[in-house]
Amino acid sequence: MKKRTFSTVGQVTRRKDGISKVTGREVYSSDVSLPNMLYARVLRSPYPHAKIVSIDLTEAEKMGAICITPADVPKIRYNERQVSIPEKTYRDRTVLPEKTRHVGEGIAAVAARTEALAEKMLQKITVKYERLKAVFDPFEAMKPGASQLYKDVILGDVVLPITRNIACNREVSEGDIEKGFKEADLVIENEFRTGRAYHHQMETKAVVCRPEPDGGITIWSTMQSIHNARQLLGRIFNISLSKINVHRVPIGGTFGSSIQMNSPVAICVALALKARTPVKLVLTREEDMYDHCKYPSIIKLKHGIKRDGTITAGEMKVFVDIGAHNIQAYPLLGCMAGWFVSLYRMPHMRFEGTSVYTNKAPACAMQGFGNPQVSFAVESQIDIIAEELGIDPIEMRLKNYVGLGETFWGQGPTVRSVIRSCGVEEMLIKGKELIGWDKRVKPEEKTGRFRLGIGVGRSFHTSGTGAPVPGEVMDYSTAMVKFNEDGSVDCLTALMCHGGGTLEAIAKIVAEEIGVPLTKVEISPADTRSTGYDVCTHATRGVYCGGASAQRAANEAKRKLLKFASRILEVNPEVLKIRPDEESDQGIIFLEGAKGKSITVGEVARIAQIKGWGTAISVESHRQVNCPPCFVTNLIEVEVDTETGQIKPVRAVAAVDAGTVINPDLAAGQLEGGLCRGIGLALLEDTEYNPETGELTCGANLTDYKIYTSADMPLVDDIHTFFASTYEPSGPMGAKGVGEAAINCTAGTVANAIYNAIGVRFKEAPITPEKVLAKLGEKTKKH
Amino acid sequence: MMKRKMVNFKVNGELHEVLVESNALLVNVLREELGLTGTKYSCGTGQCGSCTVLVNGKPALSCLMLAVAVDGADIVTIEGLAKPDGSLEPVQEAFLDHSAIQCGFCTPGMVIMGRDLLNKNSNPSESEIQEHIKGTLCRCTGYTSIVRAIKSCGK
Amino acid sequence: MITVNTRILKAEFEYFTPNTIKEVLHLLDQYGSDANVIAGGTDLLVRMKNEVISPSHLINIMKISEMSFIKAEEGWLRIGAATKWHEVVEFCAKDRKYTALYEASCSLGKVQVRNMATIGGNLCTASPAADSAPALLVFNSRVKLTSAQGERIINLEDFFKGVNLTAMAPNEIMTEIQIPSINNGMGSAFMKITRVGADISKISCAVALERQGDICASCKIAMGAVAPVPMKIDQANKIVIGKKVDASLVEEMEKKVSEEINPITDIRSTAEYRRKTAAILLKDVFWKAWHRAGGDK
Repeated sequence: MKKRTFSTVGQVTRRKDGISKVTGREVYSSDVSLPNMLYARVLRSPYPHAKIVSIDLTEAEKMGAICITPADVPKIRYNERQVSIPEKTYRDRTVLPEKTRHVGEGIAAVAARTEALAEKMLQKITVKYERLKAVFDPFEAMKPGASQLYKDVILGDVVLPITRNIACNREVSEGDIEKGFKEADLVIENEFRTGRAYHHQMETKAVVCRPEPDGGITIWSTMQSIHNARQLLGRIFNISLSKINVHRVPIGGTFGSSIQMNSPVAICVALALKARTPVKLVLTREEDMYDHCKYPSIIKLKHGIKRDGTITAGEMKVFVDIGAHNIQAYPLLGCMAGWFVSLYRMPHMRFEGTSVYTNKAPACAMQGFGNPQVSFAVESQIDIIAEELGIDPIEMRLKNYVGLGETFWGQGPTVRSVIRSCGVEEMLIKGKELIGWDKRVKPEEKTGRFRLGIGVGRSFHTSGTGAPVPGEVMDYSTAMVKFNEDGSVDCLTALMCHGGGTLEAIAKIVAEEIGVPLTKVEISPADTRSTGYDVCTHATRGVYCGGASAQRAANEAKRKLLKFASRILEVNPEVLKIRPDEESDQGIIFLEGAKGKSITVGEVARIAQIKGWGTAISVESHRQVNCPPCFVTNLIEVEVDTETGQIKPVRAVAAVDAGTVINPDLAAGQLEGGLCRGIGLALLEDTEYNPETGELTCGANLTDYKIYTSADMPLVDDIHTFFASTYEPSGPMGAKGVGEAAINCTAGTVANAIYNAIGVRFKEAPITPEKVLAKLGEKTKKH
Repeated sequence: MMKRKMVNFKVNGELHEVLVESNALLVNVLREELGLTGTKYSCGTGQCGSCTVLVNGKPALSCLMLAVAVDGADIVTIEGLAKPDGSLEPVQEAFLDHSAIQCGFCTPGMVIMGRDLLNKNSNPSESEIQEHIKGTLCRCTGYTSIVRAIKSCGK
Repeated sequence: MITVNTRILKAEFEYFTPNTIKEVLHLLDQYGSDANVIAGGTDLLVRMKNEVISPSHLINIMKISEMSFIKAEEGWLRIGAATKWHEVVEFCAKDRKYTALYEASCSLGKVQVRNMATIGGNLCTASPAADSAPALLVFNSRVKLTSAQGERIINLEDFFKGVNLTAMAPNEIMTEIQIPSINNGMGSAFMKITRVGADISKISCAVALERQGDICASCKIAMGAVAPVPMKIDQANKIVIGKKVDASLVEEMEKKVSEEINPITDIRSTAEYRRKTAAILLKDVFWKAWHRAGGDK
């Protein structure tokens, strides 16, 4: 399809929320303060696995504490994320549990005038526990006789018994895997592991709940989907949805940590309902670190390949240690199968995934949702295969990638669509030049203490979860667009901005679609009462799915406005157009080639109001029927100090195929941020547990959970980002997503770069200096 | 019950007299008593720099400062950085122009560190910038755009 | 610990802001081990938040002007214990002789911490990884401890007694750090290995040496995070003293240092890694100091 030219889309502009952020005036959930507000604190389990025998509140209540215990909250079991269809939603948690399944699980809560007082009251609560044996290793947990976290959970409306701590399984296969391996000249099998990284969003989870006099509640909280929270709270507390209003609040980073309604939300609501006054609950960093982490993975990967590099078969077996709750393990396994099968063509494939409960902090989505894990394994394996066959790693990728016209099912077997835009080749070729690939030499040709190595990796993410046939995941967005009487435009949507500029993109799409300057479009504050359903800002769907609904609403509102204009200008509405006009600083409606037949958008809206014609306004709900892959490519150069094992990224090229890029600088920012976090996954980040106590060995604080600092990143000029020049026919203005794609191939690329530097293949991330030295030691011994 | 103490300090040019308990932290007094929520709590252990404010002209961590210890001090928070007429500091303008803002939670601390560096060194190198802001964590940007923004203010 | 709340300070205490050392000593005599001196607070408040210590009395010494100074006189560089790190950095940047101390000071924490934390605080915390300790040790520094009964001066290596343990009595405070004047020909350096840019070290090392041509006339080595206390290395250095220095001699010294230290495995690294990198770090720091002593930059 021919690329369109745009006036607003693709321009570098100052983000609209920038001014409040740069002056400290942005109000995040943790900044919300209401009259007569109480502060809540949660009593948390010091044990990884224990039955709660009794909770004595006497002393705390003597001090005036408002307290809740498991006895005070609804018994209903829920999953804090309900975006899958009901029969695929596993429900295993309650507001407060009768049995604690990980250290840090909330078991009671108090509210008081000040946080300090609430802390004192917490100390007065005595809990009697009956300790149970805890399991921390997924393979131990699956052994017969292992301590069981759950007797059963609810799946849909059915009670599902849980055996051997297996939360759920998933098998997917296509073709005949045995036949595929038989056709191969070579079978390569490896095991890869990735860690339990922590999201480390800068704002800890926070919620403020105000109980309303009519029995309703109003919520301000860190979350990616306000509608998910409203529906859940309605179910849990049996309140009519029309009496629950959840506000969209700017969030201090999420990376998936708020993809579900977070655990403090229901606790805060229960307290506020009991206290009959607003309650605020902001997690401490320590609590936050016990509340969630990334899904770790153990991936057994087997490929059958012909001598010429053609892949004949691929088999992936995955074990995921999900921790104490099943938030979205079932869709995760489906996606991991999807990421696997959509990376490279395999006529025969098989996927087997198992997710296992352990007594650790529950894992939830974290940027990429299983894709960084799968891509770490697959991109490492592709390099291993290429070396074995003597094929250049980039050639190997170009030969086998799934591209234009082929079926893509990144979001799992039920979400399939055909690829209609693809910049894979363009990115690999251009990236190759930018990094100086042709000068790359083999590790055995390198000498000296400091060795440089270049690695390549590629991946993608899906843009949303839409598909021709509705699958297991709900996916649609709603937007409202209306014209104001001064020519400005309001756009209302329940989409969320995580920082990447989603709402900025929506404003640009609306401005472009209508033909008004960007300065004339504002995104209205949103809450569940005033917006139509939007599933969640997740799955890299904000621009592609949310933007499509906004574009449709803008188009329809514009149609109504032009109808009014046609009455004023006495022409047929179909021939009228709108363009941004510098002189009037708003949109101008005109008839091409006809002088005098023009009028500003504001004038039309004003006349329509005075004459009583009405407001040009439209609300559209829209489901995308595709989920195009946004492809991503990294080429990274690292320097390995062979004596200390320290690895420094020194140069990087990051490219994305996002179709039309709506916010170029913010999209580049996504790539830069993805690089930094991805390098962290590769080299640094993980959480471990003390098997005696079930506590995090890092002490649950940022003193010993590290992320990269500014001083650890390559210099600005050594980081090169670019966009593939593609146009996605099904996307708003030709756009796809960026978000999660930015991180997906980074860890694998780093592992490949390390191999190129020192000739040692690491199959377990993070690749710490300690591991590097140990491996280099083994290597020297062998020689 | 702890003894409360009256503390006097200047915040963003305005004199304040606040009655605080000995264990009150500056970050909480700024946020809760004075309503200056631009200063953020994120780690509480001095690792992230989100709570950075200027104390007597120097960046300091308000989550590790007792309010009683800053009696008599001159404090500037992110809210006080812009000029009284509302015009922004050059470093604030640069953050806007270089899209050095994503979620914005680290931005107040980053902006303060950027201004502090530019005050001392009118034309810092990239490495000097990386070094100066390394105690202020950002999870979104990978720092590249932030370094770019501060660098653009160099003369 | 899950009961920790780092947003607030749960501990309750009585707070004092004395203006003179005398007043501090009076308070210490009165409250003894129930009291803690607080200077910059960057470490103490974290330990209080983490409920590691819970003093019932806090004595802030940051208003005592006689405890904050840097003076070079009578063969000594004297630094008041309540002198902030940024002042040490600024002093060392001008007077380039104490290179190891300059490098250690610059690597300490981050800008914000150096604006708050004090030199005395870094030592009195007695962390095995205290960044300033190896640098001060290689310069043969001493500390002045003051109590109502009088003053005593002890060598820094005798000050550290264990993890967070010092030779200070409950009624004493550190008032001063004294560093002997340095000959112009001395070369020194400090380096550390960390996980990320701003971090507590996995291991740190300082070297100060003097040269006569290719002969190493004197050599002091100290390391951090390799034993319960920051330690002076007093065997490995002997290998090079009085000898013509070359790569193989330094290699011998590297081997020796790995035997001399007693590192542990903790959240930041492993004993094995520390043992291996101690040798590498020593090599790097030694050569840096060596070149500096030879007049190179």
